[in-house]
Amino acid sequence: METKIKNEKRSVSDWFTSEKLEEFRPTIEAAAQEKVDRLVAAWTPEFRAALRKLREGRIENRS
Amino acid sequence: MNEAFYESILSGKHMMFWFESIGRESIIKAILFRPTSEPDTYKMLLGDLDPDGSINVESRSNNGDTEKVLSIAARSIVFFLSDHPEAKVVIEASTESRARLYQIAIGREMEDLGNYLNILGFHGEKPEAFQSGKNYKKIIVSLKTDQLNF
Repeated sequence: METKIKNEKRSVSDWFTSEKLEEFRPTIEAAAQEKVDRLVAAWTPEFRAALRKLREGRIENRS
Repeated sequence: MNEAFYESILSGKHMMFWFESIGRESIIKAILFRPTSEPDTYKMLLGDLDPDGSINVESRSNNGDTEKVLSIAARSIVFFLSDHPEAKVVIEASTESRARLYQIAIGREMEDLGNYLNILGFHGEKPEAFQSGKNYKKIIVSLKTDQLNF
């Protein structure tokens, strides 16, 4: 049973290194930016107005 | 904490973090803060990183270490804000179950960091001060400006 679980685990050590991630960084960031742009396009004018108020310090957090 | 996460803290300007989710399997997770069309506003993405450099934000890995993953995600926000003190970080939950997980994680971190963070939850389009136990579709986290005078 233990052997089976071990075999099912994905091996990441062969590709996961800081150097590899740095190499991929531009690709990863571009893919993430594309997703973000798509999601942000769906923000409503009301939500954008709330963001603006927050930036201007007109929304107070009393927590 | 996760060794890979420490490495990512030391790398770059805290716009991207990575760490290993170790549960039923080993998965590389990435957290990214990306600028938006709104000034000083960034969106946070959390997803699985694949060996080809793609990031999957929709995946539900059910790896058995959700609490650890969310705790690292919450800490990454603090590291990001320490480098970008004017930033507003928008967190959007893609599903109701994720909204619940996010509110649990942020509620827990609030116990330690609540004095330093301004956290707003959105029900629809109406913002309110974040309250533990309430699920929000969108959450905005920023630094409290009155805590920046050292």
